[in-house]
Amino acid sequence: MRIIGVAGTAKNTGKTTTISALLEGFSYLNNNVVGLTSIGYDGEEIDNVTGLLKPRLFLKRGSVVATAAACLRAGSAELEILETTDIMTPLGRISIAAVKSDGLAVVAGPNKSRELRRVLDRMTEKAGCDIILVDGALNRIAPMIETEGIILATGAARNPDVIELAEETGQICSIFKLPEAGKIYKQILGGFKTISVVNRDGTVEAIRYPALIHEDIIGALKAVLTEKACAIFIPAAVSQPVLNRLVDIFKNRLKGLTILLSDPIKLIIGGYPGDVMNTTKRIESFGGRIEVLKEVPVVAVTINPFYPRYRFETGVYEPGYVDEKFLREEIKKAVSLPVVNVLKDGPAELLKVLGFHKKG
Amino acid sequence: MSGALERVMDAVDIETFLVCDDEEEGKRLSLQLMNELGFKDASIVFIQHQGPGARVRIRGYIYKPGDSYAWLFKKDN
Amino acid sequence: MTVQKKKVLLAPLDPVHDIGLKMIKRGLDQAEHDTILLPPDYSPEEIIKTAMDNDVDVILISRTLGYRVAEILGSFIDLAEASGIRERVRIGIGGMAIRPELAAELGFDAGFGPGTTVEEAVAFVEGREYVKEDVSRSKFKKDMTEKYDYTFKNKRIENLLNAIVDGIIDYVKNKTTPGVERAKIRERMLESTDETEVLKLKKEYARLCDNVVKVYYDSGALKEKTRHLTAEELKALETYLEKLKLRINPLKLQHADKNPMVFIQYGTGCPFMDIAHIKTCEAWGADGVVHFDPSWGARTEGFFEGYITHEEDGSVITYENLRIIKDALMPSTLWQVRAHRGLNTPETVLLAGKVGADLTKINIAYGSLGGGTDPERLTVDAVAAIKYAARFDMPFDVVTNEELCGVPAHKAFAGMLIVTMLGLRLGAKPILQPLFCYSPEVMISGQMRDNYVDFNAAKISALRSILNAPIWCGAPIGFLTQTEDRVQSSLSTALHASLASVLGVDGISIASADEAYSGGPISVAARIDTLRATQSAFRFFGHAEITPTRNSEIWASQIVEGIESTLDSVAKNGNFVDALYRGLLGSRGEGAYPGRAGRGTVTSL
Repeated sequence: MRIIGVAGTAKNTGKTTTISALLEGFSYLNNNVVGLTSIGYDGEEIDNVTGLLKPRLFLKRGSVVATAAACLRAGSAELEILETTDIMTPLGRISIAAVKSDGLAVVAGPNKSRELRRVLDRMTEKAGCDIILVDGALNRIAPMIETEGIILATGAARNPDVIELAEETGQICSIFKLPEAGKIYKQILGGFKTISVVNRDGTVEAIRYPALIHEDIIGALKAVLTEKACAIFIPAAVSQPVLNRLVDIFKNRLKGLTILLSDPIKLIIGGYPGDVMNTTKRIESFGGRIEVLKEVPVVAVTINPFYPRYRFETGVYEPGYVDEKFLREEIKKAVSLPVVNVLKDGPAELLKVLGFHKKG
Repeated sequence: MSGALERVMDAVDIETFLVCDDEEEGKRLSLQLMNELGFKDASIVFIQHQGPGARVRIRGYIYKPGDSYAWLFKKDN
Repeated sequence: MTVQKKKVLLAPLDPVHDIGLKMIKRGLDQAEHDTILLPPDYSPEEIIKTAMDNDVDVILISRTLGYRVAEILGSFIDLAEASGIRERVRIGIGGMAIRPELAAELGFDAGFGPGTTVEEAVAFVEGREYVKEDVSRSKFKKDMTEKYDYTFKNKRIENLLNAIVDGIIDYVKNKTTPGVERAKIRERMLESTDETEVLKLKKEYARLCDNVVKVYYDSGALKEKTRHLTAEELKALETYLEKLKLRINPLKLQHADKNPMVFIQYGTGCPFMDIAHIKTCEAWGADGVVHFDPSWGARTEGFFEGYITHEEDGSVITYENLRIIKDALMPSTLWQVRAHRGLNTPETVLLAGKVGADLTKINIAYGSLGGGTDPERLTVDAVAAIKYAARFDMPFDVVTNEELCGVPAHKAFAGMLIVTMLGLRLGAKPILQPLFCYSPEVMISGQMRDNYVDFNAAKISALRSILNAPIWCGAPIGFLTQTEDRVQSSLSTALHASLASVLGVDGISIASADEAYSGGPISVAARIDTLRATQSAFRFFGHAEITPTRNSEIWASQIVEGIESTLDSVAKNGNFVDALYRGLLGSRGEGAYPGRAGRGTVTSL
């Protein structure tokens, strides 16, 4: 696996710590150029929102970073610009730079999928990156479809109730594991960018909306959904309450019908994971199926017992922790994936999961 | 001196209202307040007592002209 | 180049409407873009659906921030992205807590925080890179004297002044003083490249100095409470200024073109603290700065040399001190070195000119009646000083601070006009400097019993009726109306600034909000208080007027009559210096005492 995203379920769930551990781990691997970018702004000293200290990213000489103009001189690592792209961000243009001396870096990368794709391509082609890490921002994961796999960073900062957190993490991983659709659908739907109905005869009827985010859109869909339909393709975001409403309206027609999504992320962002899972179960209970055209696998879950505890007396956030062992056990029970606390376990386990083995 | 106090260009003014009986008490409390806050070079810039207490502007000089100003020597100023 | 018309969706992600969003909508409407303003409390899904339905090009979201809210905004962007609209719709976020870093972190295309202008948001919509107006570049040095031809409207006064000035020029002929001679030696020292010659000149210079300065030239020892700045300090200053230069984008105080230039006065005793204050005042919009020297410097024959700091009010004048201050200034900042009252007046103007000051300050009447210098000495010195001012093309103001001693305005003005005429005759460009103050005269006679407007307005109108010359109100405006309370003093400064502006004067000097406090140095924060107050007052009044009562006119003609009769008595007296001793331009009864510093030092050549 070469392009790895780290997606956080909330702020302070350990995205940056996970990236740092991976960077450290990769530094032991010889002959690999490691690249780093972010789909937002990360690596600054103080968390923008809560005011708590955040770790910064330490880059070794020889690695490559894609970051915005305003960040190029903000860290201690000496950077040499290899290429300045025309991708604009609120912090200036994105440049791809080589790290000339070890040091800390501030990384603010492209924040749209298409721009991330371009940056990843340039990092690979122009800068010769063998491995690229994509740092997530907040709970934003939409651009992560450009990665080959995701490490999900979760922890008490998402929810300090460990039982609830484990349940939710299990649900998120289940959504990521939605089955992949057959090749035939990929061929038929290749060029379609809006919601479409696939008929058994191979014809496709499209409506103007790409995303299922409003009840009105169900109305538009109804007009093209006939007895001949075998699948509904939703290329963009799917809002869980709207999908649930669609199930209500079409429940008698779901039997044998497949709801096709571009990728699981389009559903992840559409509602609470528990609600999304309930809706997918409802589809199945009416004899329907829900599948994705492109899989985005979660390869591991990292956990962080830390959370910013808000003190009403003082009006400031202070560090709080849940029981680490309990957290690890509960998450392990909920997901059938490696569970790592990078602060405790170090990077070795993650590297193994990603298919890298320490030499010497 | 704390790191932040070193960054004060010259003086810190405390502007507040002290509950007191008269101006004399207000003056005493003003200087006591600055003493409690740890200001060594304190003076009362303005005080006006009316009814419930005194409106005060009390000043603690961190640097006076001719001193060696830490903010000037800050490495990455 | 025509800008392509854009369709913009403005949506508050808040339960209430954001005024900022409405202002941006207005700006966009004026720029002829299509706008859709959503009501508050739409869900992210509804906002995105509306964007799809209307094929918008740009979405502007406003939101006030809290901990979870940052995640809500992140989700909004995620949903927009996953909905496929980000390919062609650009999304900006605005709100009180928004900074570019946060906008970047949340994945927006732009962030508009506090202080964002409508123009900035419009530029984003139009896809232009927004270039913030760099005031430091648009700011340029103004010459206060430029639009004045110094013609006299009051011919009688003009004739009287000419007669008096003839007398002065005649009087100083073939006279010299240690001050005049030192200035000549200093100039030769500055121009000489021959070290032995400089050493010789130094000895010559030292002979003309008071003992405390002689000791310095003999042994290098400075006066008590003064010390040389260290090499380390000078290096640190250089670094400090270098970094500072890159990030100063000064505010502008003026709102209307008629608003006067604003000067602050500095003289903390330490050139570094002066520079720190000056740079702060520049950043907050001051147009000019005035160098105040220590009071002992005016009473001591001779200047020290080198980079010197001391622990009392007023900053020591040396070539080097003036040099580092000059080098620290923004190119647009006007710089005045005052010289008006002491035993080093000619040399001060020479140094100011050599270092490149824009303005200086000379007044024989004030310097000898309120400033402690012997009238005869200062008359001879001032003529030499004014000649330097003319040679270096430095306009000088003629301050009338003797009013603060109790001299009535008309007498102070008579003295000011004599020096003004002297300046004109010597080829210099004088600037009138009437005070805006609560003077002993008005305290006694009651011209400010009702308001502070009438009498100050009367002064300006009186001067305008006499001649066409620049006016710079000082120094500082509102003197003796300000208390140690920062709000009261800032307000009083701002109101006087407004009056000065309404009266169309060219410049004002303002106090800090702790000027009335005598227990310690002025603080930089207090300087910002009055600069901000002045800016706010200029904004408030714009081109609006202030109407004085009828008393103002009456007092204006009384002032003109007073000036005339004073000049008449001086002219009749025949000798200007003698007139000063005799109190014709301010008597002992009025608080004016002919100074004694330098008495008996005038020699004939």
